[in-house]
Amino acid sequence: MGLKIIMAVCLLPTLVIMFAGLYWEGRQKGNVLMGVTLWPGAADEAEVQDIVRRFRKEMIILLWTGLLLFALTCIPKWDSLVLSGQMLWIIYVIIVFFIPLAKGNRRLKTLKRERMAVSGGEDAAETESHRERVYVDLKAAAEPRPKPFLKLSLAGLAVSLIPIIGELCWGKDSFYGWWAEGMLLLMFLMGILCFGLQYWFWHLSTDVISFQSEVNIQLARVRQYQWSRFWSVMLWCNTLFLFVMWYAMHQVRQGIILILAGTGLYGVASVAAGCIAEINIRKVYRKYEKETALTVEEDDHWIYGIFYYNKNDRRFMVNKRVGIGTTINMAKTSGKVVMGIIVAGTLGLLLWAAGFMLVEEFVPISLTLEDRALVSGQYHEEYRLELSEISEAELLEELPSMSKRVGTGMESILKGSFMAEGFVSCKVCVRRLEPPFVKVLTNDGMTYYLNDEDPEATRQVFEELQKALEHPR
Amino acid sequence: MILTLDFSSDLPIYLQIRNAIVTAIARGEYAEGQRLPTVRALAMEAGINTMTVNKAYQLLKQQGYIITDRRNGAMVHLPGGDGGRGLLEEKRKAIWEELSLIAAEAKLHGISEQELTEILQKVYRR
Repeated sequence: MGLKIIMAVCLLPTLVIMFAGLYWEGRQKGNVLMGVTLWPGAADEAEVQDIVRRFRKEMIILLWTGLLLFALTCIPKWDSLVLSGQMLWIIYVIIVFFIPLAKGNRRLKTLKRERMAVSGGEDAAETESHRERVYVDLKAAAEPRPKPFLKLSLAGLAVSLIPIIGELCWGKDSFYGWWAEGMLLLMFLMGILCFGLQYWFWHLSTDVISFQSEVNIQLARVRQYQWSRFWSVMLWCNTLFLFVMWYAMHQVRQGIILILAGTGLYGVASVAAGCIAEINIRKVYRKYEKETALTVEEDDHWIYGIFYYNKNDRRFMVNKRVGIGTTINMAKTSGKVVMGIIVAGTLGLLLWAAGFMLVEEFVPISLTLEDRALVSGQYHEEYRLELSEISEAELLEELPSMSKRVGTGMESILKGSFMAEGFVSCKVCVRRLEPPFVKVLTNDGMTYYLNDEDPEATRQVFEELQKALEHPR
Repeated sequence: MILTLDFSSDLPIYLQIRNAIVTAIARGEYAEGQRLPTVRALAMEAGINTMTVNKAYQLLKQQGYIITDRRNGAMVHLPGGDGGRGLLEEKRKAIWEELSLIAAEAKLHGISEQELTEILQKVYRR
């Protein structure tokens, strides 16, 4: 039950954020609506308003469907099925929530083509010629590029080195093993990535939305400032999280809870910072709405308003038309490669995690007494204890309470290195809900908790083990 | 000043840049000594190769519309004045040749002398 609550707390905000972020696209941004450049008077047309209403209605239906599906993923009693279902649910939310926007974009484009056809060949020809045009504000391009929050970000990076150096120089063995140390390094690299992205935003090109350079310059400055601040905040959140991880990895009891809590706060802070940045940028856009007389006809370069494809544009990344931040130019080979890696990586990771958990939960574990050894395994041999190494064996009906160091810890299966009551380090491979359990103490002081899928088989192996220990050959 | 680059046009991009900057100077959008974007900045903004921008700036420099130096980048230079007499003669000759072609085409398409003069006046005053 605890796992389901934690997953609900972590995942449901994703649904709300996806909904809120995309629902907002039903509102005009400059002279763009749902990724389509509006023609004069479009916003007041009944058909356009109808398209927006349909889009909003479809989004609300998806929100409720998403909530219902999430509730369904919590029904199974096996953790692996719950988590696998929720991995698939994430994929569903990420993909399906864009469908109303894509449909709205297509409907608006169709309506626009009809309007252009009705208004005469001149407008259509003008639109056609606009398609291959790029607008550059020379005065904005000549403006110096400040680097806001540079010192703050560099300070954040420097401070984030402390846990790494501390662990290397003074760290004792981490309770959670090498993977936690690897996570520290990975988080430090995330900090560097944040700084790299901040650098990118300092050099982002200017959006030309007005014939007045002052408007374009002002908007560019606001965008640059807001996104620089966002990446600086992300960098510091990352640094603080590093400290939390460093502390948590040396805690026996509260470690996992601290890491989960830290992850949750990190996620919330990131989303809040991103939303604040985008809200502030859109406020400025609305302020200059009346002055955005320049119509940049880029509709054909925006597939469903979401993906940018323009082979005449050498830029690798451009400002998004829909949503927040930037997106990749898919016409570039490097863009296709990066996008491919991101999509394959994300899908692959989610599907691998789901598959791994299903295998861990449903592949039977076995405990057998071979010639001179006690063997415990699942899809491969986990532990092999020679009889000569075993000093003591006991049959228990209940496991002591224990917390995981490294391995698998689900409702039905425990496997790996754990810390039992009394700070006893132990190795475990058991079906938690299928007592009894064989407790084995080896000559080197290590404790093992093992059992078989079948309780009768566990008892039988224990009896044979007792006989073998009483009468060693 | 908004520079419009038309990738479907037969006119090369560097010439479009050159023509747009000359037009902007003529309209008074750029004053003497005013800085233009650096080659890299303009290339990045326009999403084009730096060599294309460099070619445009070199042409503008040759024709006396800008001056460049390493420290300050490219700055607008208004042609004319004592050093420009030779350049002015060259320009007169070039304009004469270009207008000759325009006049010939206008005649072939039945555009009268008066109409052509009116068009030229409107364009000049813009």
